[in-house]
Amino acid sequence: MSVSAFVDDEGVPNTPCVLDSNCIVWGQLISQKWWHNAHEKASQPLAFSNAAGRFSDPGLPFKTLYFGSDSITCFRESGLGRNLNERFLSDRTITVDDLRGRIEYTVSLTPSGLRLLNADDSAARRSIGAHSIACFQANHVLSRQWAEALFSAGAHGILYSSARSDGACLALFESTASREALGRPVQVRCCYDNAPLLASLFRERVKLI
Amino acid sequence: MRAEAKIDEPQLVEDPKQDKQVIFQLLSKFNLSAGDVAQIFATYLVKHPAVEEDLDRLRSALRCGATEEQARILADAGGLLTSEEVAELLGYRGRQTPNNKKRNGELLVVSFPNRRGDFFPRCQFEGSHVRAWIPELLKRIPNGWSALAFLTARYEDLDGQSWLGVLLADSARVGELLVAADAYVS
Repeated sequence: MSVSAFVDDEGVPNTPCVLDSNCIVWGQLISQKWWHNAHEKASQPLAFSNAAGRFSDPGLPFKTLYFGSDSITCFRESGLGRNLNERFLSDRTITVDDLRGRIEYTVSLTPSGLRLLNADDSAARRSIGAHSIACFQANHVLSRQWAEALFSAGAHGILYSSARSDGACLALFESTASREALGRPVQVRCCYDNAPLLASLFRERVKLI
Repeated sequence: MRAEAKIDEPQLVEDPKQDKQVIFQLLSKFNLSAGDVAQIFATYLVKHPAVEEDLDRLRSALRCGATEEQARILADAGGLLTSEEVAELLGYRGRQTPNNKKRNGELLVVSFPNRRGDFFPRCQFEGSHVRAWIPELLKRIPNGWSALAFLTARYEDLDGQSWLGVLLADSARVGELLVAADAYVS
């Protein structure tokens, strides 16, 4: 196999094989501050869930909790943000209540002892046989297969780039180690009080009623 | 000559020094599209990130055109009925029953700051009945305007249709609607 075969990313995802945890290149220099966006009616601000998502599904043997590197990334990855993204540009109208109902939290993470795969790191991807970043960014069915393979190999989560924002995301798999690594969430504000978020919504022609 | 004399665009409400009118004039002169302006704004934000002091004006900017948006949404929802009209349509004795059903989350209602009373989007009725999925939708998205905007927005994944359009064509797809509504508040 040529060297370029290792370097180039053809953008074609492949399915995982059984992974050897001893060979996996785990993420280093993990951020200790993360943001989370939850609906005001959520039973608790930080809840591991098996609701269908990129690395979560009722059919998977673990639950997942998602974080973002900043408040705007968290909004974009929230249910409201995803829904807006799927709408026609001219139909991106939301209510003040929608924004007031979304609460932003920060949480500290103590990453030492956590095995997190950085999907943006090509060496990490090679260590698990993932031929492309698309394994983690494209089809959710495939992304979940990779999540399950990594979970089986002892991973506590996956770091990846947001597909809807410029920030980074962390999908943390539920485990004792994951729970112990998480600090207490600190409520920051509701989205309606987030000036940079409102500016970003205005820039993208979202309308408020 | 003062800047405002040349301007045909809508006047800014708060612009005591008239400096923003000059920007208006420039944008108009170069006939920039909304996309162009959005791009300029995005670049501007890199150097001047929005801060808390900007909140009121950003909220105001986001609300610009809200009345027109509401009109579009209501047109897509088939218009509005009053409490009296709903009572008559559903065979109730008075408008109190629709109001009670509104409070119980069984009817989708919108209101306006400048008009008294509640108004009931016509799309939730089928003949003399309320569509069965309306209370289920309101359990997930209780705010009338939020629910209506969600229902009438067109989605890429629905081949350019709205959820309302999808359900009017095939009521068997209620389950999909409710999954989407669950995701909306997740």
